[in-house]
This record gives sequence, structure tokens and C-alpha cells, in this order.
Amino acid sequence: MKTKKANAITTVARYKAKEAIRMVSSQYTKRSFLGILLFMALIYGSQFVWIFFVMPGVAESGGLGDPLTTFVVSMILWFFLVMNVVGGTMGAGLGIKEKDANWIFTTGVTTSQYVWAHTLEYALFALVFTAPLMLVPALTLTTLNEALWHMVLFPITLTIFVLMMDSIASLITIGLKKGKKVVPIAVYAILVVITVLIIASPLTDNPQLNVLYDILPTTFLARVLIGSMVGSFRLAQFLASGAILLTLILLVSWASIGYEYEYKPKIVKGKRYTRKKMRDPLASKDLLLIKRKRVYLYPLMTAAIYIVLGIFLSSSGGSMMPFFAGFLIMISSQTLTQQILVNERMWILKSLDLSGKKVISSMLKILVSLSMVYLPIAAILLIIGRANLWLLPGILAIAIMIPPYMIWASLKFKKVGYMLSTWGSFLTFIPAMILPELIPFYIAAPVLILMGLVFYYIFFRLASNKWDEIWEEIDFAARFGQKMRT
Amino acid sequence: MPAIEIRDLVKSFNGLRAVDYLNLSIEGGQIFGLLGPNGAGKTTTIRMLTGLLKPDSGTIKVLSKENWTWKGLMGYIPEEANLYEHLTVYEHLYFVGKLRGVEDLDNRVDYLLEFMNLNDKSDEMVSTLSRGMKQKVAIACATVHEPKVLIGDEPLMGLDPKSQRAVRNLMKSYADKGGVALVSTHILDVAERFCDRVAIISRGSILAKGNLEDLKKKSRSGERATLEDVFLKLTEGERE
Repeated sequence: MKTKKANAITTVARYKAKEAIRMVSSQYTKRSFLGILLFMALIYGSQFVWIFFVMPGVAESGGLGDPLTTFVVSMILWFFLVMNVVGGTMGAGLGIKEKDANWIFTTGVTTSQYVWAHTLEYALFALVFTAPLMLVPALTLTTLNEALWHMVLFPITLTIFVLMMDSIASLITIGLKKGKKVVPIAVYAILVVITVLIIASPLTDNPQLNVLYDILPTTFLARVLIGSMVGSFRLAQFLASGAILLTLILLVSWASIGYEYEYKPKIVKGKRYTRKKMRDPLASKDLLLIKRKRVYLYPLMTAAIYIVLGIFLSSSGGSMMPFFAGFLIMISSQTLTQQILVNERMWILKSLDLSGKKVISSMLKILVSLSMVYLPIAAILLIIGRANLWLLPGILAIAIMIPPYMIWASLKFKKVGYMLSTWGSFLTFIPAMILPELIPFYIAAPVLILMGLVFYYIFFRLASNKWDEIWEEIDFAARFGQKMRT
Repeated sequence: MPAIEIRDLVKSFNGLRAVDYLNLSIEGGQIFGLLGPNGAGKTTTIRMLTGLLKPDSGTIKVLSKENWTWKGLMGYIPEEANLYEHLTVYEHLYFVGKLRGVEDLDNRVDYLLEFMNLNDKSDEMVSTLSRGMKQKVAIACATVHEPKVLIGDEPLMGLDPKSQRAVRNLMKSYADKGGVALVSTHILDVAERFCDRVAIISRGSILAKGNLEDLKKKSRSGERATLEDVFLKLTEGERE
């Protein structure tokens, strides 16, 4: 009855991938899923093409081949590496779920076998989701007469990077399990010191700091990635990145021997929170959720990436800061709305004597107020990019319009998927960004704020006779969101 | 030689001792109940038996084997079914059966679907099933390889009376073949109806063990005392 090793790895990988694919496909119709992939390809692809091929400053300074581009790509990869390391110290590395423990580990499958199965499954998903993003850049490169076959290497290199990140996080999780609590503090300290030194390196032009930057694994990968885009691709570099990945996976596989997966029971002592009196329970529960789940941090992480990108682009002569500031507010608004909708336990509210109007109004009040918190950060981005501060009202309009839009869209587009509604937020983002380009700022700003208010008026006007219907539907949206989460 | 032998088992979480020098030996050929109030250490003990938790100290032997080499001979029904929601019932059983290395798996899966009355649900996604149905799938998965030791953490939770009877018969059939079915529960009625013998666990250690008559004697309860009376008397001093 003993399970064969190779068999266990392929069986776990096959069935877990099958389950994950079904989970994704059950949320979308085929048409809507293709639509989302196309949308991702267009939005992210266009961003990519806009930044690296069209913007005059970047193109003239040498385009993708410019060392500054390598620096920015390396920094972005470094940022993701840091996030993965932090995730690893929090135990996110070896993502073993309780169902895996119950149905895989009780059968005698080892953690080492699980690591390989997980890697296979992860590689498949990374490839499926990174490949479409390259569609638009590939078409652009074709028109620019670059070697198209290099584009095939890009998703593969990106997949290698994703797997490397995953392996590093797993190594840290396993290491911590066997090590001491001082390890995460040491890891954080090292990361902070290296980050500060690297960011300082182009400013000081210190040769020693440049050496540090050169030996970073993210710099190496940035060169491989850019090489696959501009045609300066070298087979040795590509093979080396594959070899690094293989070494890492072997290391995780070896380290995981004897790693006991422990599902902590509920008796583990948790953090004790102070008792709070709730003057407005509806608003308080949403605020507590956002605070305790630290959802507010996600937009700030996005802002960090944009600041790096913005500094680079500003130094190249072009400024994308208004775009980034608007995008930051859009992401903040989307993330907060999504979290509130996804985590809502509607049955509790529905069993109480509460009207749908009261609940949805409370949600909107909280969401719009919280989005305002990010406005000063957007203003800082505009100041760094030396952009016109008159853009702020337009950005404010985005913050006002997105929450009701998302609530409406998650109901309206429920058949084509909850996520599609978030992509649809671009519909509010685009006019807010285009209008100030067409008419003077001081006219565009009040127009945009007026648009936001009109949008609200229409939302409440349309909903006034349909609150009960919305009440029913939003329950669906919330449950749908929960399915997405699991 | 006992089928399950636990000696001086200890497990703590953040300084809180969940299992405190627990000793227990269970002979083969019976359905054995691990009975205790919420937070008594039942789930922690069971998780250590299955290898999902590592004890701080102490030893566990199952069918004279050590170091969890008995996993292939053991079936585990978790407290929450926690299944792969986007596999069909058939695929789920097949998946676990394949990992277990079951020979003639198709026939075995068909038999279990029939036995657990899941035939008409075999091609449905697990996510569409009711809680009771999911529990049936979990039980079928735990028994797909015909284990010699079947361990269930509140295994009857969510099952209708008919299914409970079927599960009891299934466990009885294992016991009759010389195996052991170890069932944890905090529902006294379940323990009384299902188990040949029980152990009462509180604050991580065993207070008493035996059949109802043994427990009555140990707790000095009267002849007409029920398991509930015995349980309350034994755990009286343990609670605040």
C-alpha cells in the first residue's frame, strides 16, 4: 500500500491544479474570463508600452537598454522580494492549508514531496497569468522589428522569479520554525540596510555601493528580463537563473525534511484587544476590519512602487506622477470596497431590523472617508512629479465614484464575475485623467467633483425604489466575494 | 499488545498545556470514545496521533509501530471536513485513494459511493454539497484504503440518524476485524450509543477509562446513573 514518491508528487500537483483551475473557472463564464485576460493584456500591456516605448524621456534616454531601467526593474523585484521575506517571517512561505494537512499529510506524503508538487502547480499558474500580459508589448516589439521569440522567454523568466520568491519565503518559514524569534528581527534589519544602501547608490555614485547593487539577485534577474525584451538575451544568463531556482527548490525540499506541519488549534492565546464602545456599530465594524486586517497597508505598498517608478521617470524627463496618484487612489478605493464586500457577513445584518439603505449608506460613508486618507499621499506624488495640484480634485472624484460604482457593478455584472467590476473601475479613472488634459485644470476640477456628486445622486435615485432588491442582491455579491477569497 | 499506546504525552501552545502527561492504551477490536468538555485536549491528542502535531514529549505507538510509520494503516476523519471544494465527489475519493496507493481504486470508490449513499452526488462539485454530505465524503475518504485504525474527531457532526447508523456499522465492522475506531466527542449520548469503552479527558489528562459500569464504580455513582451523571461527577472537581 505504500505510495510511490513520483506518483505522490504528480498526483498532488495534478489534483490541486485541477481544483484551483476549477475554482477560477467557476467564478467566470469562459467569455468573461477571456475578457479579463484581454483586459489585463490591454491595460498592463499598454502601461508597459507607454512607459518604456512611447514616453519621450525614456525612449530618448536609451529605452529599455538604459541602466536606469535595469535599476528600476531591480528595485521593483527587490520590493517584491522584501514583501515575500516579510510574508515568510509571518509563516506564509510553505502555504499548507488545513485541507492539505487533513487529506495529504495524513496519507504519508512528505513535506519534501509536497514542496515539489506545490512548485509544479505554482509554475503552471504563474505561466498562465503572466503570458497574456506580454501580448501588447509583443505586438509593439514586432512593429519595432525586434526579435519576437525573445518575448517567449519573458513569461518564463518571470515565472522563474515568482518561484524564486516563493522558495525564499518557504525557506524563511521553515528556518524560523526551527530557529529563534530573533531571526525575523535580524532579517528585517538586513533588508532595511540593503534597501537604503541600494537606493542611495545612484545618488552617491559610490563604487562599493554599486558593487552591492550589482551582486543583488534581483539585479541579475532584471538584466535577464530586460535582455529577453530588447534582444540582448544571453543563454548563459537564462540558464543561470534556472540553475539558481533549481538550487533554491532543492534547498527548500531538503530543509523541509523533518518540518512538521502544525495546524494550531483554537486554544492558542491570541492578542487581546481593548474593549471599544461602538457609537455607530455599522461603521465601527468596517473600520475595525480594515484596521485589524491591515488592509490600509496594500495601497501604501502600491504607493512605494510608484514612488520608485516616478523618481525614475521624472529623472528621465517624463512624469507619470498624475497617472500614478490617480491609480493609487483607485487601488485604495477598490481594495477597501472589495474587503468590506468580501468580508461582510450579511446574514447577521439581515437578521436584524435594518434597512438596506442604512447598511449601504454606512458602507459608502466609511469607504469615501477612508479614501480621503490617501489624498495627501497622492498630493506628495504630484509634488514629487512636479505636476499640477489642480489634479487633486479629479483624483478626489475617483475616490467618490468608485465605491458606489463597485457596489453597483458587483451586482450588475454578477454573472460575469465579481473581479470584472473592479476592472471596470477604470471607467471612472479614465475620464478623471483625460478631462484635465482637454480643458484647463481649474475648470476640469469642479466638473469632476460635480460628476462624482451626480454619480451619487443617480445611484441613490436609481436605488431608492429598489433597496430591497439591492439588499437581496448584495448578499449574493458578498457570498460571491467570499468564494473568491477561499 | 494494545493497538494504540500513548505514554506521558505532553503538548503546550504558548505556555498553555493542552495535553498534560496523557497515558492511554486501547486494545484492538472495539469502538473507543474519547470524551471530554470543550478545550479538554481531545483534538490535540488526535492530531498528535495522526502526525499533524508533534508532541513536546512522550511516545505514541500504533499497531506496535513508532514515528508515525502507521499513517498508511490509519484513516482520519477531521472535525471540519475541509475538503477540496472544487473537485467532484468522485475525484476527491479518487485523489485520496491514489495517494493512499489503493489497488483496484475504481471499484473501491464505487463501493464507498454506494455505501455512503453518495451515488447520485458522485459527479457534483464538493462545494455544492450540504454539511452532512460533506461529512459523508470525509468519512468515505478516511476509509478508502480500509484502515486498521480509524480515528474520528467528532465524526458524526452534521449526519442524519440514518447516516449515523451507517457510520456506526462501518466502525463496528473495523472493530470486528480486530481494528480500532477511536472517536472523540463531547456529546455524551453519542459516546453512550456508539462506544464499547470510553476515556474521560479533562485539562489534557485522562480522568477515568473503561465501560459504563467501570466508570460508575470509579465515580461512585449509583446503579441507575447515566454516562452524563458519571461524566459530571468525574469532571466536577476539575471545573471551576
